[in-house]
Formats: sequence, structure tokens, C-alpha cells
Amino acid sequence: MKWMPVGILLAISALPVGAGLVGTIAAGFEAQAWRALLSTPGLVRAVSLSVWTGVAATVISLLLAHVTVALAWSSERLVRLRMWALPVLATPHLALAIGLVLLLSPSGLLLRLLSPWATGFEQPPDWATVQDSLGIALILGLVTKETPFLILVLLGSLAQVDAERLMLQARVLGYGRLKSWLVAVAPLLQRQSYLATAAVLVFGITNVEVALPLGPSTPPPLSLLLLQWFSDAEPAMRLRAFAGAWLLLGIAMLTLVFGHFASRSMASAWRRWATSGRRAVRDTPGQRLISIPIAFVLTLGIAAVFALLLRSFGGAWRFPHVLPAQPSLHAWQSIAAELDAALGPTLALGFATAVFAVLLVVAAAEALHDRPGTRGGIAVVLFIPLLLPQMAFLFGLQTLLIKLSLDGTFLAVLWSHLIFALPYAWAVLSEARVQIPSGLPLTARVLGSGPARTWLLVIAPLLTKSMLLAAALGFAVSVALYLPTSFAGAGRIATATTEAAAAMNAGNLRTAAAQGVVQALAPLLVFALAAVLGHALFRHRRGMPR
Amino acid sequence: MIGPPAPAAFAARLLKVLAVAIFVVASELAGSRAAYAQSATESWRATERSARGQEVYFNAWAGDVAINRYIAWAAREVERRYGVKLIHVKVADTSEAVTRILAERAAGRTARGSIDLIWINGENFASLKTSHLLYGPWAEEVPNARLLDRSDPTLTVDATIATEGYELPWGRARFTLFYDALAVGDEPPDDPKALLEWIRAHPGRFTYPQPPDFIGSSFLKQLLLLLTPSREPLREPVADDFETLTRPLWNWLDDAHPYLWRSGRIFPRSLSEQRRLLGDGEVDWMLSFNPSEAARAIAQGELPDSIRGTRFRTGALSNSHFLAIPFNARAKEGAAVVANFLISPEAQARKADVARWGDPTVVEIARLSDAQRRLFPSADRSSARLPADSRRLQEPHPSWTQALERAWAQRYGAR
Repeated sequence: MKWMPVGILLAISALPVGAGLVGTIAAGFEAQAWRALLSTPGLVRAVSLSVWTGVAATVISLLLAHVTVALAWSSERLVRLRMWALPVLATPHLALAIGLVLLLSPSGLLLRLLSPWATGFEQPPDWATVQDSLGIALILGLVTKETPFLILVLLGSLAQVDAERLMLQARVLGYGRLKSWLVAVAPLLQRQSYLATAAVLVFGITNVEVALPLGPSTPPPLSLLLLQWFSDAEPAMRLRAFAGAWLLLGIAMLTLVFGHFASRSMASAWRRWATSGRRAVRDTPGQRLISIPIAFVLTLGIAAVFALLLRSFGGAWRFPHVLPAQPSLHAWQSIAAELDAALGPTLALGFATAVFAVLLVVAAAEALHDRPGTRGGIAVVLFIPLLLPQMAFLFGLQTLLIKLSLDGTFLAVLWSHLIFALPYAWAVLSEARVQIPSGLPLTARVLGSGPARTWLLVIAPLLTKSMLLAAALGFAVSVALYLPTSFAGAGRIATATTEAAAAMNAGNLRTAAAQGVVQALAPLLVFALAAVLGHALFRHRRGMPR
Repeated sequence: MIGPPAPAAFAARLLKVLAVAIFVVASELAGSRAAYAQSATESWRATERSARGQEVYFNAWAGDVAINRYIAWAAREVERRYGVKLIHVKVADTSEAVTRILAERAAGRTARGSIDLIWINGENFASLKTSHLLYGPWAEEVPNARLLDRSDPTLTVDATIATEGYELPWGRARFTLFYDALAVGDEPPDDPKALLEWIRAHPGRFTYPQPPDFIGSSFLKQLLLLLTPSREPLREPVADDFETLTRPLWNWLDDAHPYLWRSGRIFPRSLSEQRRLLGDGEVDWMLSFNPSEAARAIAQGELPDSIRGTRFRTGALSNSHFLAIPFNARAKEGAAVVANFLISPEAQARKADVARWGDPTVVEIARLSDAQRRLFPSADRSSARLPADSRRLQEPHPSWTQALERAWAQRYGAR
């Protein structure tokens, strides 16, 4: 009985992913498919591009996130940091990447602001500032999106690390602020954020959302080739796509393993530095310089969102005009009509995903709060979908749903969303549950309170803030999912994201921009709601976890 | 007096007999035709009766607000007139829907499929038809099919594949080049050679969507049809003379690429991306299959009003787009009723209006009544400022699309 929630959790997550993987692997098991794959022109370049951009973006984002948290913690700017990070985090990948194109391309906002008075350009120059063949723009896009995510993950992990005590000890030993943080706190935070970092790395290698607008196209990264083959009506191309899914899976896993060993050897270098005896008491100018790229990345994200917003008001927009010629509400009016139909399912799915994810995870976390080994195993299983290229299992999942006659139903889409929301809910809630000292419920039980009453009166209030955060995350994940929605929903369940993708992919940039803004706004409101609720519920209690 | 009948009288009797015989046979024939017509009407009525209350999931490319709005209008009309609920499933690429049908067949679902009606043509149609994944033949039996323009071969042969009643024509397309008159002037290049000269004289101002994008591949086909030494073999599946037949095309591209936008190293991914590049002033050209693409975009404020359309004087690639019903559709009757409505004079007239959509009609105007004719927009609202019509060139066999895309990727896809 006690294990039932755990079983349900695993069934929801592992069953479809496993079935999907088996389907893909079986389909990719043909020599002909592999021959076709290996004859693809530029395959080696495409693979190296995927690995290079994914790895570079992860390393840079992680570095920036750590230093940002270190600098912000010591100067009490954590709250403001959250406010900067959230809008970028809430904007879907595709929308943010398009925003960056509108900002950085030769006809983008940045050069418009400088032309023609400073640059002399009457026409946009023929420069490859986006889609460059080295993938620099793609890396920049990934860093812009993933740094705020990692910052928030690290801030979340702060709850589990007694930073104050560690910092005090290091400072008492005479170490400078930044070094204290980097040797005493950062490694603990990193250990807590291990899976999130892995997910960022895999996303960097396998994503299509950022690569589509910002990545090069001759050849594109492997993930885009896959997308192209999977959507080809020719059956032979689909065969090649399945073999390609294998390859993508393979390189993602290899890079993960490699990254694991690299981080281990990094750790020993770190220890040598930590025990070198050098105190680094004063912040050097070099250390202060590092806040420049951080400010740049955070500003870039906000500016991209702004460029997107500006675009949604403008149609014909000649270079070098800074504002569109005839700003209009056209796009907003037309999406108001279309959103009418999509808003209901978007919200219903978002809230259902949030509620089910929190209920399932709270029940499972309760069952496992004294079993760290099992908890670790569950975490790995739940994170597998985030560590796999979505396309590697979605086709198999689609076949499973059709066989169950579930495709195109609300339930199927909800299921597919839960697969992606559960790991986040688990990361937040299982840790929060472990943090509750076992003495509290024990005291309640000793005083004669039954298990249900104990949970409701003692544990639930302590978990509420984490539950709200997990619910908001689940909602945000659900709102942003495109491929799972379109696969499980058989195109019949239209959400703001599927509408935006349809507009973005085939048509109207103005509408797509407006849809992107809506997509960012919905989760932002829910995050705000969660924060307000959390404050309102516990105004009168002291020492609640932040 | 009894004698042999006078020849005149004999002839008269014979005539009478013949007349009777003719009358009998004729009335017999007429009766059966009337009966046939009656039974056709009867069976269509039966179709309409079973369609009532059905939900029709219409998988249609949804990249344009105007098109979505048009389909929403059609949904209101068929609900009101026939009690059919039309639901627009918005797809970003028709191949998504095709792969869904393939997945359903693979999973053994031969009935109650998720798609009732699909907007389709070219390779997607060829792929579904040759795999026997389409319901039919049905398209010649809907009442409004008799209004279709029989003189246009693209309505019955879709990229060399005979439609045979498995899809119903819905609209027509002609490959059109759009340019900014402020940069190109009033006399745009009107054949591939002149275009190449313009491109070399204006580095960085021309590009085309990267194949296998639909428009990009169509541009290759358009150029091939005009440049190839012999057009006849293109009607047949690709054979071993591919290299000889396509050589002039690759020469043209080799000459043009260094002078394209981003020196031919980056290409826009789609028509919509190129439309933005044109609107922002990064390039001076855009390619489309819809002759009123620019007129509509100007009306919607997407493009400046200096954009004009032109076609190659020596011939423009032409095709049609269609409606088809998958083999496992749940609401086949409802789908047929919707399709029949979509080719009705009223629906076609609205579609031809640039302010609504601007898609050329498949109906032959001469077959319509005066009242129906008046529904259609006047020439200046549908011609989209295009020069007099050039020759129509028909699509090559579908195998050419893939062969051209492969060869393009081999040559230019990884540099």
C-alpha cells in the first residue's frame, strides 16, 4: 500500500518512455537505414556541431550561473536576481531564440539603433551574425536561456546547503569572499544540481528550438537533420531518421559519460586549489570583470523578449527604422480570436499537470523520505526523459497511444506532459520532504496524533511553499511543451504553444511573436501567484523555509 | 384498288415506325438518365443525411492568419447549412499529418482514424495514394465537381499522378517571383539568364528557401523546366540521364551562389522567413506559389507596398492543391459534404478575393450562372498586379523532387 504511489509514479514515467524507446530502437535496427544515414552529406560536421555547441553552452552557462549566485549571495541581491531570471526562464526556447534573431541579425534591433548615424548603413550589411557556421550564435542563444535556469536551480539548492555557516567558517579562516564561496559552497550546490546540469547538456546537444532560428544550416546540427527526416513523407527517409535518433542518443550519452569523468578530474583540481593555502582575500579587478558577461547575458535575454514584443506590433518594418512604420494591434486582435479556442486547453492542461505532478510526487516522497538509496534510483528514472532526445521516444509513444486508442485525448496529452513535469516536481519536493526534521512528525505522533492528522498539521504546512513552486514549475513545463502535445494530441488538442509553432513554422512572425509573449506571460503569472500565496499563507509563522 | 403501296406512302409509314422506335428508345434512355440523375441526387442526399451531426477533423496547413480565418468561416457555414462540425487541426507541415496516417496504419487502426479531411498535393498525395491510404474514388461524385475547370490538366493530374477521384481540386497555384520595385525597377528580369545577370550585379540581395523546403524545391523544379535540354523525360520517373538533364541547373546555381545573400552559405528556412527578410530590407526578392501572396501581405501590413510580382516569360511552374479523405477517416460523409461546400461558387469566390485569401479558383467561370459569376471579385482584386499570364509548365514526376533535393544537399548542403 505504502509503495503504490511509487509504482504509479514509475508507471507514468518509465512505461511510455520505455515503450517509445523500444519502438525507435527496433525501427532503427536495419542495415539499410544506417547505410542511408552514413551517406548523408556533412554528417560528421553536423555531429561535431551538435557536440561542440552543446558542451560549450553548458560549460559557459554553468560557470556564469555559479559566479552570479556567488556574487549575488554576498551582496543580498538574490531577490532581484530572481526577478531578472524569471522572464527569460518563462519565455519558451523557440520564442526567445526568435527574439535573439530580431535583436542580433543584420536587420535586427541592435544595428537599427546604430544606423545609419553611426554605421552609415542604409541597407543591412550581409553579415552572418546569426546562423554562423561555427555555431557561435547558437551557443549564445543556449547560454542566454540556460544561465537563468541554472541560476534558479542553484538558488533552489541553496535551501539544502547551510551556506551561511560554511561561508562564516571559510571567512574566519581568512579566505576572500569569492574564493570562500567557490571552495566551500559551490561544490555542494553543484552536487545538488547534478541532474539539472546533465539535462542542460543533453538539451544543448539535442534541441531543435534554439538551433532552428540561430544555428547554421549548411549543414545544420544533427537534431535538425532528424526533424527534417522524420517529417518527410518518404518512408525511406523515416528509416534514416530512426537510425539518426540512435546516433543522437549515442552521442548525447557519450558526452554525458565524458562530462561525468571530466567533472571528476575537475573536482580534484578544485581540491588542489582549495587546499593550496592561497587566501585570495581581496577581489581582484579580474574578478570584478566577470560580472560584465553575466550582466550581458541577463540583459540580452530581457532585450530579446523586448524585441519579440516590439515585433508583435509591427508589420512592414524597413531597415534602418527603429520602430515599425505602422504599429498596429493587428496581431493581437487576430490571436485574441484564435486564443479563444486554445486558452482553455492550455490552462486546463497546465493546472492538471501541476496538480497531478504535485500529488503523485508528494505521496511518493512521503513513502520514501527515509530511503535515500531508492530516492536516488527514482530520481534517475524520472530524469531519463529529460536526458533523452524527445524524438527518440515520441514516435514509439505515439504508436503506443494509438494502440491504446488514447491518442488525441486530453488524458494522453496530460500523460505526456506529466512525463516532463515529474522530474522537476521530484527535484523540488523530495528534497524538501527530507529536510523536515523527523523529530517534528515523531513528536506529533507521540502526542497521539494519527498519521493523516500528523501529515496535514505538521508536514503539509512545511511543504506548502515547495508544493507551490513545484506546481508552478509543472505548469510552466506543460505550457511550453510542443512536440509531446502535438504527438499525443494527434493535432486535436490545440494549446498556445502548438498554435505559436504553427504560426512560427509556416507563417506570420507578428502572430508568432504575440503568441510567444502570451506563452511567457502565463507561467510568469502562475509563478507570481505561487509566490504571493506562499507569503499570504504563512505571514504569521516564523522560520518557514524560504 | 389494292396494289403495292405507293413509294411515298411507304416512306411515310417507315418514317412513322422509325419515329416511334426512336421515340421509344429515346424516352427509354432519357428515363434511365433521369433515373440515374435522380439516384445520384438521392445518394448525395443520403450522404448529407449521414453527415449531419458528424465531426470533421480537417488537417490543414495553418501558416497564414487569412487562411485560418477563411477556414473558420467555412466551419460556421457548414455547421449552419449541413449540421456538420468542422474542426481545423492546424498543422505546421502537411507531412505531419501524412506521418500520422502512416503511424495509424502501422498500429493497425483501419477505422476511426484521427484525420477526416486533409489539404494535400504533390509528393504527399503520391505517398498516400501509392500506399493505398486514401479513401475513394469519391471526388468525382460530389455535385459541385461538375463545375470544375476541365481544361486545366493540373486539376486531374497531380504532379504526373492521376488523381482518379482520390482528391478533389480546391485551388490553383503558379510559381511567382516577388521583388521590391524600389530596388529592382519596373522591368524585372523575366527569364533565368536575366535573373542570373541581376543577381551577379547585386551581390547579397537574392536568395531562396533551402531545399527540401517546399518553395525551395519548387524553385529548383522551375529552373530545371526552363533550363533543361529536354523537358519530356521529366514526365517520367528519374532515370540514369539525371546528370545530363540537370547539368544546366547546377551550372546556373554554381554561377549564382557566390552572389546570393550570405554568399549562398546560409539560406532562409522557409517562405515566411524570406518574407521577413524582404520586409526588413535584407533581400529584394521572395518566391511563392500563391500569385496573390504579396497583395495579401501588403493588405495585412506585412510588406511595404513597393512589392510587385512577376513570372518567367518562358513558363511558370503550375499546380493545384486538393482535398483528400484518409482510408480510415471516421466521418467520410461529413468530409465529402465539407469538400463539396469548399468548391461551391460561393466558397470559391470568397477564397479568390485578395482581401480574404486570394487563391485562384478551380471552378470554370463559364459554367456558372450570372448570379454566381457576380460573386467573384473583379480582376483587379484577384490579379495581384501580375503581368499577363505566362505559359503554364506542369510539375515533373514526384521522383524528381527527391532526386533534386538529394543532389542539392550533396552539392551545397555542407560547405
